[in-house]
Parts: sequence; C-alpha cells; structure tokens
Amino acid sequence: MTAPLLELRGLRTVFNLRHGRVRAVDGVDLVIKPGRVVGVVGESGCGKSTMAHSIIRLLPHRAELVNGSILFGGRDLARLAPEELRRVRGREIAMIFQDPLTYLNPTLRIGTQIAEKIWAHDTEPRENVGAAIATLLREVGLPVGVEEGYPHELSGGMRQRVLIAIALACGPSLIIADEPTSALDVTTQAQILELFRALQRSRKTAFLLITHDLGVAAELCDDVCVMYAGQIVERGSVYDVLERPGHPYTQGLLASVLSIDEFRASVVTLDGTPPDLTDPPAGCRFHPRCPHATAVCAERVPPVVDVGAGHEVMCWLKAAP
Amino acid sequence: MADLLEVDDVRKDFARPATFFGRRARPVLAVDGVTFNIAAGVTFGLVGESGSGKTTLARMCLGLLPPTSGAIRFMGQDLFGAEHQGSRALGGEIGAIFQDPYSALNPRKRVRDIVSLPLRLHGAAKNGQTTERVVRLLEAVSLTPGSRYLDRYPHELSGGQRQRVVIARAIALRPRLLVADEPVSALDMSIRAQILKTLAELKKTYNLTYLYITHDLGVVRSICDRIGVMYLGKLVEVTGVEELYARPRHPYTKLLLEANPIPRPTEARARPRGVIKGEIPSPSSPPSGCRFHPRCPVAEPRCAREEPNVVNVGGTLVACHLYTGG
Repeated sequence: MTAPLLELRGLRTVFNLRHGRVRAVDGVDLVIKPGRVVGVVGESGCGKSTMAHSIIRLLPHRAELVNGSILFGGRDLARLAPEELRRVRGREIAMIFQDPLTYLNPTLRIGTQIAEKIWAHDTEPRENVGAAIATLLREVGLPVGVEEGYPHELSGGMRQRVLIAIALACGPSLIIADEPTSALDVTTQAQILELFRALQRSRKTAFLLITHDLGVAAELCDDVCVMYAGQIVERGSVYDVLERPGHPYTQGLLASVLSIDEFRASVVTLDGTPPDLTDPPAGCRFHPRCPHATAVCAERVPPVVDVGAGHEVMCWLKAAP
Repeated sequence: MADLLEVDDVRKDFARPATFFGRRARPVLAVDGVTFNIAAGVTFGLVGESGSGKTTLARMCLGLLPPTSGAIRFMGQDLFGAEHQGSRALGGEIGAIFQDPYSALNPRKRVRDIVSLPLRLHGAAKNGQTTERVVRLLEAVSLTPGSRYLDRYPHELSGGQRQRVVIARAIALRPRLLVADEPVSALDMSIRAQILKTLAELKKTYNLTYLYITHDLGVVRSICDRIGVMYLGKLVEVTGVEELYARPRHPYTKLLLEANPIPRPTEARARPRGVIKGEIPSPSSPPSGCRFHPRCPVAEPRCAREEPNVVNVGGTLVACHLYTGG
C-alpha cells in the first residue's frame, strides 16, 4: 500500500448567504495516491469545484471551511497558518482553471508570468529562470518566442498551455484541474488531453480532475468519484464507475449522456433537477429523483457499501437486508 | 416538391474597420460559398468548431443578416428578396432558439408576456384567448401546469426551464422551420437530455423541420437526420447521420469524430486518438487550396494549390481531393 498523497476526511464547506446556509460540500472523504489521476464528476451545483477550492483554501469570502481535515505531506491544510499555506499552494499543489484568460495578467508578457511563479517560490536560482521557462514551454508544446508575447495574442488552447506551464513550474506533486478543457473546442480539447497524458507519464504528477464531462473522465482518469448534492455517492476505478455504475444517479447521468450519444433522444432516465442545498432532502439526497426509491430512502442516510474491489456506492439498494 | 430551405452558394464577408493609419483591413470571410438544402420534416445538423461560420449561417437563415452573395430561399421565396425583409415578414414561419437562455429572455417581463409577444406582434391571438394559448404552449414544452409559470420572471426559473420558455416562444406562431443554435450547450447533462427529448416530441406534434447548429457531435447523433460539417467557412461534408458515423469521408470529419470524448473508458482507450495538429487558421487569411490542408494528415501537394470541388461519393457530398480523382 502506498501512502496517500492527499486525504480528505469529512470535509464540509458552507456558503453563508442571505437566504440561508448552502451546504455545498457536506462530508466528503477522498484519497489521492501519488501519481494517480482522480476525477470528480457531477453536474453544476453539486459542490465539485467548491471541494477542489477547499483543498487549497481558495474560497470566496462568503464560503467557510467548517469541518474536516485535509491531510497532505504530513500536514493538515485545514489548520495551516496562511503563511505556511502559501508555500504549499502553487509549489506542491498547483491549480489549473477553466478560463485561462481570467487567470493571466493581460499586461504582462507570458515569460514574466511564468517567472513570477518561480520567483515567488524560489525554486530556481535567478540566473536559471530563463532556461527553466524555455524548458517548460517546450514541455507543454508551445513554440519558442511565446514568452515574449501577451495573453491576448494567443488562442484559447495556447493560453491553457501557458496555464499548465505555470502550474508545472515548481514541480508540484498534485495538480488540481477544474474543468480544464470545458471552454475549448473538441479538437483543442483532444490536444490538451493528450498533453495531460504525456505529463502524467513523464512527471508522475497526481491529478485531481474536476469535470462535468463523463467523456473527459473516461479518457483520462484512473479513479472516478461521482458527486451529488455535496456528497460523493459513488467511487471506484474509472471502468467500474462508468461501465458498471452502481448508484441510480450515476446510472441516470450515464443514460442521459448515452441517450444523447448513441440512441435517439427518446430515453430520458433522470427527471427533475438537483435539490436546493440550503435545505437538502432528508435521507438519501437523490431520493426525490430516484426511480428505485423506497420508504427508507426518505428517512435515513444510506450506508456506503463496497460492492467489490474498492467500488463504493452510497445507496440503500446495495445495503445487505 | 421543392425543399423547405435552400441555401444556394451563400457567402458572407464582414468588412473590418480601417486601421488607425487608414490602411484597409482584409475582410473576414465567415461563410464562403455554402450550398445545402433541407427537405420538410428533416432535422439538419450543422456541425463545426468556433470560427467555422455556423452561427453566421444560422443568422442568415433566420433573416437576421443578409448574405454578401448567393441566395437563401424558404418555401421557394428569397428571404432577402424585395418583398421580404427578414423572417418577420414571413409571418413567423421561421422560429429561433439560441444558446444562452439567460440573455434570450427579458428579465423584466413575466413568462406570459414573453411567450405572448410573437402572438401580439403578428396579431395572431384574439383578445381573451392569449392566456389560454400561452398555457397550451407552456404545456407543449413540458412546463406543466402552464398556469403556474405564467406570472414568473426569468430569474425564478432554472436554466432548463428558461430554455423551455425560449422554445415555447419560438413555436408560438406555429413555424415550419426552427433554427436552433446550440440550444443545449449551456445546460447540464441530465437537463440536456430532457430538452432534446422535448425538441424531438415537438417535431412530431408540430411537423417541424430543424436547422440544428452545434459543435457537439454526440447531440447531433441523437437528434439529426442529415449533417453538414463546416470548416473555416466551407461545408466539407454533407450526409445522413448513420453514414457519417459509419463512414466519415473527409479527413476533418474523421478526426473530429475521434476527438469527441466518449464515456466508455475501455472503448475510449482502445480507439485511435484523433489529435489534429495546429489550430484553426484566421478566416481573414484562409489557407490556399483546401482550407484544411495545413492540418490534414493525408494532404498532398495538390491540396495546397487547388480548391477541391464537391463530389458525390455513395450519397455523401464531400469536398476533398481524395475523392476528386486525377
């Protein structure tokens, strides 16, 4: 057994809004081993992005990490002082976001923006920074000379490569990628996914990939967690979860994609919309939309059941009678 | 019988303002000589990436934008002929659904006003019957009971419900043709499947014909009968949906299909990976010859010189030198 790189225990993050407390992440446990690619999939509002941002504690001011621990390299990030956290963030855990333009400074040259990252963490002697930038750009497939340009001169795919170069700059052991290809065209997306695969092979970096696209998860991930209404309802290897889904929500989500993907648009297996997280349903949060719901589902929180080889499903249907 | 919509050698240039020093900038060739027909009752999908010209083409088919040259005929009449100025003059026979249901609805109007607007503009509803018709339209798009939604404002609805209101408005005048530009791309997967199901049902109930614009090949497969693939302002392949997936002819179509992620890991990892090198060039200075040649894995010297003509290969119309012989 390899020791986990990152371990979340009972993570709880809430948004304190005027109309109530939104329980965006509600008791999430998650383990990422070194070099693994773990995907978190789910629809908008399921808490997947909030969970990712909670790990490096980059939360908007109304959000609050109320409970749980984030164990990484022998420390609990949930209890780390801001100064120490800054040394982890970007250096040991890097992040890639959906919209690269928002995260790049429009007035600075690309080279400067990569250099800033290296300067901030002092991972290279000053005289080596230029060479380090050239190596990084080559690694992410950008042509020589890009470092002289500005973000507006690049296409969406190239900007995302710049963001990846910045993420790699300090040699992180974990990269959190939040919808890294969702804003890109399908052919550009394929190029970026290919780059992730190459990086994963050469650097053995672990990835936490947040995506709504089950296809992207199928292409890239070793393990997949399915989130619904702030909780992980199913987890396991990518093959188990996407080819032998155990939770009715995963089954419905896959059927929605497949009904679009290969059948005619006549089968719909998920009715309704996700619940309001200021007042989530009692018992199993999916029960109001579940085609198999029984009385117990509305009353008691379902157990997490291991249905084989670490494939876990949080559902009463799987519980022993 | 003539086809419902005929797009005949349509071209659209966008002139760009002169530079500060008065140099004239080259116009952007958004759509360059596109021809296709849609027969009544067919769902025609127009697929392409950003910058392929598909939305410009949709706007022209809606009568919102005049082509630079060529003609668009709806039921045999030129959309931009002297007697018609856009789709409004056609008595609402062409309806429109856009991608973003958040910006397509006036936030200060109630659902009843939004859906009844086309009825009022065209004098299509008699006094006293408007509400009843709006309720029926809302129920046709599965907002049931319709009366419950009448007095809501857009911000009180979810994304999927808003898109249903947009669809109800689009079908209010019983159009023959619906032009839908990425109608589900902004929605979550489960909601997407629900909306596509509604569109498929409406097609049957109202005898609709769709021009469906999207970048998503999965969606296309589920609802379209015929598909046109666009690249940089050109239509490179037109064929039936089953044929497209079974035997894609154009190298671009093949790569596009391979690049589309599928949620079955075993299959996804076993198939060839479609990685197209480079990026889509600027439409203001498109490549010579075949526009795809700089990125094409099977390009020959001729592809850089001559533009391929459209040829018929077993019922598929394709513009590629692989099939032009010689």
